[in-house]
Amino acid sequence: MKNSENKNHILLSVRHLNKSFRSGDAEQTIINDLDLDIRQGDFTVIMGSSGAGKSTLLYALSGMDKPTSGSITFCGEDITSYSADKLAVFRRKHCGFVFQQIYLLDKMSLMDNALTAGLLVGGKKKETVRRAAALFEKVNLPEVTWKKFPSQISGGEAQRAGIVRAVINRPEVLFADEPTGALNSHNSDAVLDVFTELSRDGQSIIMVTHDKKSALRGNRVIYLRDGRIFGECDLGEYTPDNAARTDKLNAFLTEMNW
Amino acid sequence: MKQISHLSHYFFRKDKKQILSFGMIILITALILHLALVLALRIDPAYDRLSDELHSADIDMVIPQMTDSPALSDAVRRHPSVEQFEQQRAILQKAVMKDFRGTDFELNILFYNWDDPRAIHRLSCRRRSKEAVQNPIYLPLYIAEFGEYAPGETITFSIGGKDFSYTVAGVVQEMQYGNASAELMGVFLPDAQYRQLAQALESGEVVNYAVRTGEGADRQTVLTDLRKTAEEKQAPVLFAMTRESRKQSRMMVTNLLTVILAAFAVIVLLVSIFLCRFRIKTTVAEEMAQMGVLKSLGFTSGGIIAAEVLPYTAAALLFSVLGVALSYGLLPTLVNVLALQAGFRFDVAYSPAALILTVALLTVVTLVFTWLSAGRIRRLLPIAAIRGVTDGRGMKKNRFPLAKTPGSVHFTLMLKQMAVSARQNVLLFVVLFVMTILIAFSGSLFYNGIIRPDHLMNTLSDESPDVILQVSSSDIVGMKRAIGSLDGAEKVLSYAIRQVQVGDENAVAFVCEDFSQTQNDGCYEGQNPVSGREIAIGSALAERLGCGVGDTAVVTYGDTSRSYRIVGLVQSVNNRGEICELTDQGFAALSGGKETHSLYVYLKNSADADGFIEKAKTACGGEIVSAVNAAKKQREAQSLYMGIITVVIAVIFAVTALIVLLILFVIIRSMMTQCRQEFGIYKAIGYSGRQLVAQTAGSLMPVTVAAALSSALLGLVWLPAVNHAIFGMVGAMKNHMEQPVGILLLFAAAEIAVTLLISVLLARPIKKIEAYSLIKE
Ligand SMILES: Nc1ncnc2c1ncn2[C@@H]1O[C@H](COP(=O)(O)OP(=O)(O)O)[C@@H](O)[C@H]1O
Ligand SMILES: [Mg+2]
Repeated sequence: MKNSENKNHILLSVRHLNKSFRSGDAEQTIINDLDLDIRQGDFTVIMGSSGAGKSTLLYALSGMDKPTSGSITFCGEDITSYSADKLAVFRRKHCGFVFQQIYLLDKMSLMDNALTAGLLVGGKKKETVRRAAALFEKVNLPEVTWKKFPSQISGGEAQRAGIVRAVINRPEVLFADEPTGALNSHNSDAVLDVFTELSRDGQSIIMVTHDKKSALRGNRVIYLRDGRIFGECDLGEYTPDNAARTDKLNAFLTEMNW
Repeated sequence: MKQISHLSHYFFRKDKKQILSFGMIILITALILHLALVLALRIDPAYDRLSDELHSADIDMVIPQMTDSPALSDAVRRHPSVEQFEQQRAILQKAVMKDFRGTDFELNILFYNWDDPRAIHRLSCRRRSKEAVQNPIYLPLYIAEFGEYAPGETITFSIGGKDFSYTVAGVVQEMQYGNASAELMGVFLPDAQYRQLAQALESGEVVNYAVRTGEGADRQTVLTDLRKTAEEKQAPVLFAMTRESRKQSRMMVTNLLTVILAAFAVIVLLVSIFLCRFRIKTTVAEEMAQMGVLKSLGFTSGGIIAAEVLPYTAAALLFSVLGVALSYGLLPTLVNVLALQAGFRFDVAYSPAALILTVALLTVVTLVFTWLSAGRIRRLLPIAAIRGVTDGRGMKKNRFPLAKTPGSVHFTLMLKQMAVSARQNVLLFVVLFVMTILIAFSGSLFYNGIIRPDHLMNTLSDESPDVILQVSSSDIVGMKRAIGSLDGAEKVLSYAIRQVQVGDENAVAFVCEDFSQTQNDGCYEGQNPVSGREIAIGSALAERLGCGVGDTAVVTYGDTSRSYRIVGLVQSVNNRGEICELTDQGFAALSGGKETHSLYVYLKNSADADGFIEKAKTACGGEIVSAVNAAKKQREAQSLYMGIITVVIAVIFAVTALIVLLILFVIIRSMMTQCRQEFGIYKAIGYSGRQLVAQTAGSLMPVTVAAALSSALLGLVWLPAVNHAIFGMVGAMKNHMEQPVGILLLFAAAEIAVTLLISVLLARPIKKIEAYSLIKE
């Protein structure tokens, strides 16, 4: 992974971020003067109650949505002033997304879903195809599934294909918005294992979740309330069945009044 | 019922804009269809009604007054099919009308006596000059309106070099002659003016036998009988026509237009059928889950279908009524133009039949096709619909796999998008295909009427040199040499146009020393005459005389008759095929060789015909009786055609663009509803708005190109047939129209470019779909 040796490098830096929505006459502030730094190689988990603005924050960070004010510096670039098309180009190079609803393109095969992203940034087609194949193997999707359509596979398989599509361009940050929210427990574990493996390889990840089991996979948990970071907890590196980490997270969440 | 109207309302709100564009297309269809129907249903009966009202003759036959006799009128009266007849005296002259629509116009004119009582061919005075005028004349509608002579204005006839001027006292509606394609026209002088003219001219006094036959008589047969009778009584028939031939020449343009409008309406109707089919099928696919829920709630298939069909049928009803209303806005203009060239006024009347036919046809067609298209709802199991288990159309196979398809990812995605949109491809193909039929037709018009105007002109007109010289010298050969040696002359031909009889039929004879030198070869079968014993005859003559190449024909000129071998068939739109061609020697044998012919002069630079005429007058002075700048006349006629063609092409392109716009609007709208999420995902992955617009517009292009090109190339096959049919209607057996592939492809390319432009513009809102909207949903 790029810069994996530089663990303390600041990848993403947010200052005085505000995001409000206008509904009718009322203006609703969701993100309120928020400051945040994301370090290279971290597996950051964003938690908070439903409607706290977790998704809103995630999509502002990733240049998917424009903040009302404030600055976001990502890979040394201030992306807040970018036009929609410039943001698209930025996203394809630097960001990967995994959604709760998975959102595979349902009119094409899994392989083509991955390649739709992979071929967008240029580079040799053969190499991209090879990388996609390697990633599919890595997330445990055997070759017979590559030709299948999203409607022909299970949710867990689909989400793993979604992860392949998200990381095929070696993004600086992998953004995930409740990636296991729609999956059963068995499928969730398989997907979370992929995240853990990617994280071990040095992939920076920012994941929104309201599920404790998922949150345990991260090394840093941020709690959002009233549009600000209400609390933060350093869990250290994930290891399976680590009771100390579980206790630490439980204590933190209790403190946060979760 | 209440639930259904509720549901219907929902479908309407959801598809408002698409239903609106469907309505627009129905409106266009209704407009065109209604115009065609009104023309078909109203003008023809109006023509007949007016003919009856004015007590028009079934047969007209003009003979010199000197040869009229009680014996002849008795014989006519005794003919079993003759019910009533009247001898109308007149003065027949070949006259040039000065300043006829800005130019000089030469025509055979019958000057009638306005004060003679008339039982047949009554005249109805439409417009009168407000004050009494000096030297009054009454003009038929055609001359007054097409020639632009208003009551109170002056009209001058130049007859044999003398000018006769009159003031227009009134405009009459007559159903005896008609328009320019009849070679005869009647005008009406009060008794005093009539006598003056007769005295001044001392010639040309004729009698028109206006004959009314009984019901069911075959007018052509009766005419042949009467012709024979006249000849037996030593009365040469100068002109003759039946009610049918008159009507045909007056109604030609109207009929042509009706056919073209009807064809146009059918094409647009086809488009609207495919459009509503497409919309219904798309809605069913989009609303699959909804329908499942509705069914599980207990809605019957019939109820859901009715709710779906209702908005479209209602739109068809509403917009076809609007289209009809709109067509009443256009009708007066259209009818005016038609009246102008047909020479009879037709009052735009409300036609319940046309209205009902238009509205009923469009509404029923919409109802039937939407109903059939919605049939799939019946086969939908509620649970399958809710789960979204569709028939898996387009999902069976991963077309254009990205790993294997060569080319850029954008191009492949475009192909993929195209491959999964079967329904929309069908619609697009059909629309582009049928619209290209019109485009190809306009391409053919453009080439033959504007790039190579000679093609159209040669088809419609007779031999036309640059300058026509009337010479007095008897030494025609010497004159020919003198004129031919002048600077700028390319060749000179001796040419004459005479009125003769072939068999029993009147015909115009074209006499030329060498037909192989002429520029407009009207021969469509066999060949032009070469020797003095050979003749080529016109299509109408061949048909009426029942003879063809190899037979013989007897030609009468004055008192002399002679037989010729028919070597070819020739056409003449101007003379409705009533012509023949004779060589100089061939005609000399009839005329005694004393007549002087005109000289047809062809110039190297036809633009300088006026300069050449000056030169010729200086060189040969007194020997030139008259000189006509025929090139200019030809150019004027040509520019009139070009104007019409330009308008037709512009209208075709505008209508095509409008229909393509409406169709693409529906297609792209449907795409944006169906693929909204997909576009969001693409954006999240990092595709820019511009790329998605290009991909979407691009995905429509392969079908567009295929439809436009195949239809345009197919034009190579059907255009000759259509041209043959159209020009055949006006009597041109052979036309000079060509269909160059280049022009057809060029026009198809223009259409494709317009389609691309419209799709890009319509797809632009895709830019506004945010990746972020994924999360909001
Ligand atoms: N586009 C929008 N317009 C108006 N309100 C919005 C919009 N997007 C989100 N919100 C509101 O912002 C709040 C936070 O939403 P979100 O970030 O999705 O919360 P969560 O923390 O559950 O992910 C919610 O109250 C939501 O209604
Ligand atoms: Mg959320």
